[in-house]
Amino acid sequence: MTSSNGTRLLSRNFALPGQANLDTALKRGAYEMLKRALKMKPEEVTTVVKASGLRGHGGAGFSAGMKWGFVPKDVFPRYVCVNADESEPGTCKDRLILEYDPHLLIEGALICAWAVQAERIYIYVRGEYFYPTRIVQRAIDEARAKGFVGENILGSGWSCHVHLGTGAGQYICGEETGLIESLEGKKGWPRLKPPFYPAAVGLWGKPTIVNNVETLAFVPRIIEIGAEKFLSYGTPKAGGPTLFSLSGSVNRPGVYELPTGVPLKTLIYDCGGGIKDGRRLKAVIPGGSSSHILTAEECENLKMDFESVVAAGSMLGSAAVMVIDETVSIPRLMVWMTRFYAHESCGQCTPCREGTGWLLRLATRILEGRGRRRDLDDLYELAENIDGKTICALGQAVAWPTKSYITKFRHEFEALIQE
Amino acid sequence: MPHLEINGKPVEVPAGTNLIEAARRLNIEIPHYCYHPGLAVVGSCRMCQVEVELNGRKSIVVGCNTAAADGMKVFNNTEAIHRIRSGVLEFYLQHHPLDCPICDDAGECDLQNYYLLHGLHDSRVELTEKHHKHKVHDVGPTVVLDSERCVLCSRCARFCREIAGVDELGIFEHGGDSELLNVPGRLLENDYAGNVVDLCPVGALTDKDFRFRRRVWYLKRTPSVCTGCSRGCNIYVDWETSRSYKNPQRRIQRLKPRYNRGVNEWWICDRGRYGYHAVDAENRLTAPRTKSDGESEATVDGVLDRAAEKIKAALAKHGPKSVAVIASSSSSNEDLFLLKRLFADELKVHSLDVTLSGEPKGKEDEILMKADVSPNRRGAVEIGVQPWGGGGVAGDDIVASALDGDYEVLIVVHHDLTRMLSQKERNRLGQNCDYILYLGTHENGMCHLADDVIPIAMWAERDATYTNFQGRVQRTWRPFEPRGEALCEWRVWQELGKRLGHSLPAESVAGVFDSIGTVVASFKGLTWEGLPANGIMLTGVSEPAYRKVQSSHPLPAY
Amino acid sequence: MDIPDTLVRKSEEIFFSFPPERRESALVPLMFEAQRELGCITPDTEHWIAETVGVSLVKVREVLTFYSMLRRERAEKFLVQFCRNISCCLAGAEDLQRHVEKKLGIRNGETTADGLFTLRYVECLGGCSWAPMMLVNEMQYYQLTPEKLDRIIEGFRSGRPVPPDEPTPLLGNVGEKIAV
Repeated sequence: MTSSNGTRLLSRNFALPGQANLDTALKRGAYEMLKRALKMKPEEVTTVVKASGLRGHGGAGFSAGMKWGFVPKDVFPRYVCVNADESEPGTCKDRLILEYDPHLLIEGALICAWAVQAERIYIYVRGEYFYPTRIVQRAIDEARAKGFVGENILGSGWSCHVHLGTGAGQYICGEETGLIESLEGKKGWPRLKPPFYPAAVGLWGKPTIVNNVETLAFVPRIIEIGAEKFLSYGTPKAGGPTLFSLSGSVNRPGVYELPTGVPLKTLIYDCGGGIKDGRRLKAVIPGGSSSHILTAEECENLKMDFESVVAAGSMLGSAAVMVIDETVSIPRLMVWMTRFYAHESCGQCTPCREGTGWLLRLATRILEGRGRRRDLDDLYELAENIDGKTICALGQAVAWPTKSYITKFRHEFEALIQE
Repeated sequence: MPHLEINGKPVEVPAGTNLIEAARRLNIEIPHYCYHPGLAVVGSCRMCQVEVELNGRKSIVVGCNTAAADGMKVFNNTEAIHRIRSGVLEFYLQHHPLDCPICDDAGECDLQNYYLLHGLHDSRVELTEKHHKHKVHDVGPTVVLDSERCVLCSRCARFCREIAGVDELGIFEHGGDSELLNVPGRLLENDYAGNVVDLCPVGALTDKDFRFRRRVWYLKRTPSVCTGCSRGCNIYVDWETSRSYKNPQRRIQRLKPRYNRGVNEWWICDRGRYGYHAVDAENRLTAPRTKSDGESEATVDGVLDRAAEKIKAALAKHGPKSVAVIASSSSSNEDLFLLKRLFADELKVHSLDVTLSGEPKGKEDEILMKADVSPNRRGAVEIGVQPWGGGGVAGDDIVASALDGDYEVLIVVHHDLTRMLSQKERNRLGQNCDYILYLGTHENGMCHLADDVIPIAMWAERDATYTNFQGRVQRTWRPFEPRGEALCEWRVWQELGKRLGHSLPAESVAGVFDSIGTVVASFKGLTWEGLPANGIMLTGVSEPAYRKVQSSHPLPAY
Repeated sequence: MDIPDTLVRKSEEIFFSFPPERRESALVPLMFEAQRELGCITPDTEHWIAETVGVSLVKVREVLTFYSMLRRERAEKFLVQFCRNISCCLAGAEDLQRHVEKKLGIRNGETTADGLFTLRYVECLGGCSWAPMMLVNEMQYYQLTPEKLDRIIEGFRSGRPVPPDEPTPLLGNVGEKIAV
């Protein structure tokens, strides 16, 4: 099933008609893996997932099996939250899972809930995903009607309810503790750490597994093909394929399911058909807008797995690859990027609340040709003053790209500063 | 008990202590805005970041949310930490209006303080770039908000939720637009609202009562105890008398809570906070009065002489039953002790009590406020200022008997009987009592009914002790002298005793206090010199179990 | 105030999805539904929500003002949310913004004189591979070009809306047959 052109493990049914409907999905084996998992002991499921090398596809890349293993003994009830608040700029793969194969996600979430013995699952979908929300709601209702969800699932004696959670337009609710706060009916202010893991103290103070849509959708496949096989589709440290969201200056943008660790060039040139209008590649943002930018040279031999991208000075993040061609101005990119974070800062802690808007102001001033000589250094220093000083990762999410744009494309900014 | 080092100094703290509190024990301040020991930790201000080394691993953490651990090394003064705080401060000052010259908080503002410690940078912001938010916004009847000064620490909002148990302030919008406000139609008006001003680390929330009255560096501070109810919250009296052009009558500028774990923790109620206005109220009694003919101007000595004569005559003619004393549980332990010694022990007066059913009552809640608005009822009971012996007469019965003309001499302290009586009864009391002596602090009906009136010093004008409802003896310190000719109540009894041929113990308040223990068992062993600043439990009375001062229905923190 | 029965029923469904002692959790979805029914959340609605959920007005206002999709003022008939984030801008969203502004005669945050359209530029809508994208009310439209935009807007004006791109078209290899 592996080729340079793709490993369609998760997405293999997307194109098949009616996959979002339960009856059709059942004919293609939906919920068979749930049945298999229910015959396993919960901790066996966790062991398999751990062995599969499945890592979080939401951005942080944390081992899913390890996360599940953090749930403290004897503390009940427990919950599973599906993070469908896909908001990291450049990322658009979860929406396909929600729209095309919602039962795969529900099945994966149920297997996770079985593994950690959770009694409720909340699928938290971002508010702007009106259509995906409708599809998922219908899928939940269908699954409930057929006994895959609710009391005494498939006669196992185990009950688990699945509900929809609703976002209302705030990027920060994709941060797992922000998501939990939002589900609790509060502002989505990320929680102070420690406690470090929602797996120990999560929704309503109880053990809670928060996993990304894609992460959980892989789980039924792991049960199906086994941990070893799954691991072989990725790297020894990150099993399975990854859904890459490819956007920007390429001929064929889209979502590509490829083995984790695939060369970036394969993604951009073989899959994406190369740079638009025959232009030259200038840079790539490899893992969503929060990641450091990589120059064309840095992309030369880059493999798209967590460790390789980190070694190259960035991160795989949500595997949202934004391709930037030679005609794009990096100072302009800086304005687009900082505008996003200035808008999405939740306001809870000071450096991000006060700093993101300041970055945007300086970036705009430089782009508009009103920049002063010291503005560029100020921009860098302010990013430094945000970086790592905040409650959640949003601080570094704006600081890292800011610093990398300046460091790697300083001449473009300087060219705009008249003085 | 973890042992750790902070800036190289060793300290041992109870398990669970955070780094800010651990440092405090060494008199090291880790700067912070959002953290307050009485409120939930939110970690949002990012000022308290410190370097920590544990098991060979170095990291930067927030002091408020990091528990001290054995072997931990904490550094509060490194170059890296200084840089971080400087950076955070610059973010705070980005949109700050820099209006210190007209800000009430100047001089006690943590933006100023920390800027001097960690800032001292030039502004990188153009004036035109500053955001504008609500100015001079009435968040409630007692507090004004300047949103542009606000550092969004959320202490005030958390106080309302966690301690007062009401949601009156919130942080609205998000990101750079975040603003602390009330909601339209919902004001900051809980009984503890004034505490948000104390909690505000900057000049965002200011007290209408104190606004624009004094620069804080002119204030002098004296520890004291609130006499507004039987809890006896510990307070500071912030006063200033030298710059009289502002308002010569107003000596106390404000009261602030003083921490006492067993009484009020960090808080006081607004009833107590603003109750100080009585001290310098226009209707304060500042001179003695008399109805006696032939005296052009009353003097304290003259009144005392006459009172002594009247008492002597009554006792000689009709015995102790012809004298009655309605004392007050607002009086101090020393006042009540000498009163008891003179009237009960020496003169054998049985009609003696402090309690009347018609006494004013206040609001009571489970946070701090007690319905009993007198600060020393427990003291009166312990000392025995109550009906005693076989023929003891209780307060209400004393009043009834007085109306019936059973007493030649009636002595009343503080109580305004006229408020409890009809016009008819007031006339009868005046006619049926041969002589009424009133000791009070303010102009009221008794001043007109009584034959003689002696002005009494108020709590802020004297050193005194009060016993709160728990049985805790707490003292006040005198910031300034009594107004006019007012004198301490115990002096009145001492002087009266002399004139009646009874020498009462001691010439000083300390001496009076020390002698209480020689007679009253529950004061045994207590000495004036040995009184701790946060009070001491009566002998034989145990410290009540600790209870966090808060609403019984607190709302969760953020 | 009068709360439509449909909203009351919806609120019961929402409460049902949380444990009974966690009514507060219904706050965000309930506001979302209330806005869908009523167009926006007025102070009257805030009172109703506070009462129904059992939380303070301050809390309701905090949540209401925090989430950028929740509105205190009624949007006009068609709320055009136009993405201006990186992927959309890389795909020409800025030129398209000028086009849509000219077409509607309004700028960001404004409403057309006929009260039909409100234009709002928003951050990433999660359609990066199909950029540029926009939402018109709850309908998603991808791969916008000046021509497609014109057709969509005319469609709404004439009461015959262009069908939205639902489901999202499969782009990339996820829709392809598996090459073994």
